[in-house]
Amino acid sequence: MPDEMITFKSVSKSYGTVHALHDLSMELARGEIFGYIGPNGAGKTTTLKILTGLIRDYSGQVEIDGVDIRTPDAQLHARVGYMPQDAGFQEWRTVEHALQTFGKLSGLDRNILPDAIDRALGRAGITEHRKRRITHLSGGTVQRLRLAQAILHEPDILVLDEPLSGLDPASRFQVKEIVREFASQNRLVLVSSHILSEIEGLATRIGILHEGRIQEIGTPAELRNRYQVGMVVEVTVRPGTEIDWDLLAGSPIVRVDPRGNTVTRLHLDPSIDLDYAISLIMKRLLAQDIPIRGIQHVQPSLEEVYLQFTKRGAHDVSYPVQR
Amino acid sequence: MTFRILYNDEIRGFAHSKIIIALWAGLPLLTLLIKFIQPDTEGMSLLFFTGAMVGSIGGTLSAVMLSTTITGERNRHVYDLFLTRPVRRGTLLMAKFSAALTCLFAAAIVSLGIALAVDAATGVLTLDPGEQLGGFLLISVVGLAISSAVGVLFGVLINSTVLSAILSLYLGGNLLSAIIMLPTMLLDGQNIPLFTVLLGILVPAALMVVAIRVFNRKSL
Repeated sequence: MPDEMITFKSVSKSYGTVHALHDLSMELARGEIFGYIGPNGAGKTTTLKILTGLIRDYSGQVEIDGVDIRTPDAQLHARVGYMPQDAGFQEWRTVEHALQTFGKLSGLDRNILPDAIDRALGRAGITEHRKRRITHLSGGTVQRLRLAQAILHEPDILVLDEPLSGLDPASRFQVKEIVREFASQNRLVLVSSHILSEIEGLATRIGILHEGRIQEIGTPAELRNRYQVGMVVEVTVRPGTEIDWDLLAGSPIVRVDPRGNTVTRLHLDPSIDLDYAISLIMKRLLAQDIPIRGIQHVQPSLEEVYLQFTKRGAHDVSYPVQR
Repeated sequence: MTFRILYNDEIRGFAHSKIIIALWAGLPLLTLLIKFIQPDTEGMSLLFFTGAMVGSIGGTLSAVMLSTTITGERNRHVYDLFLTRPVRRGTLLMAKFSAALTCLFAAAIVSLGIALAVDAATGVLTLDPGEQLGGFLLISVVGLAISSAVGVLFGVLINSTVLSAILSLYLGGNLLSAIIMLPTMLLDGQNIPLFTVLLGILVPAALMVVAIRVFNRKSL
């Protein structure tokens, strides 16, 4: 991979008899938004905590720009901004005081700290809460404060653990804009989520993690293509039309998936050319005088790919083809 | 530099702590209350009672406060935000320990100062006031240092806040009483201050080393 920034080399981590991560190897490049997807308990947070130095007793190696993160180089962690999923703040702090402390600890100079705090508060959309005690803030505002402390020191690497959970739609949009802005400045953003749709339009590359193993890594388009999820055709007919799908059964249709009164999805044999398959279906429908309102090739969402991974595991992943 | 930031931060935090506020106000008030309740102390100075009180009550409270604070903050992942920055885990614990000790030391000075003033005014003092204050202050600080280190260790070791509080209350308090009495029980008069100073340095240092080693190995 060109310009890789973070490298995981055979990283494994166990909690007693529970294996949280198995032999994880991947490379992340600067300028990308890497979506790290997996169900709860898949090992996402463990991975992020290893990367940020919160977990130290693991096997394997993690490097940032070729330097092992276990090397006692303090500047290494100053380059990482981490937004944890559930980190708390001490009750007595105000928003501003929390950011002052974290800014100083990140090495920000006293002269630039006020501006950095203003900028972080503005980006996170919580400027009006500046003087408030954190215990008096709503859950969503605390979540945005977690983001503000992560971006405060303008890190090269932004690590966000479930950043969109607990946020309203406007706040989600704001967070996504921040992520895109960081990536556009040739910085790396690593975003974890257990809900793929949350970051489907955001991530430039996606890694799917299941039961501590990385199942697949690729761009959204690559993942769709790799698992043959493109071979689905959606047929829309006039309301009230009765269709005997049994008459249409057989190649190239391998499964019929009704989606309401007028819409039906037909899953096709992936070995058959799509255009040929569509023309064949149209002929069969017209032969039965079925009033077609539309027929289109649909790209099922990555959510469907993801669900296949998380339901079946790594070794049995393909789009459900049933005869 | 990092220590100074964390230390100042912790001082600010402890200044908001109800326990510390209670100690700052409560210990001097207790000192006066003892004199009010028990005006005749059979020739014993109020300074003596206050020194013992600061060492026991202050020490126990500091152990409980530190252990429950650290356990609670660990459970709420408060340290995640610190330790993903260039902050060593040992520095974080040392800052907490030092800040707590500073706050407790301030409370001890005020309480012992009041006791000294009362003793001086009532003519109970038989020795040099400075020497007496120094002696009791030394015992109090040693007690507070040991109990604070015990609190830090339990805070790092134990995951339950309730268990952390109970152990600090019983083990911290009792262990402390036993340890600070050692010089008096084992040595003659001349060596007691020196041995007390050594005890006040070595025991907390050993406890803090263990606490830091444990904390360094913990997955947060």
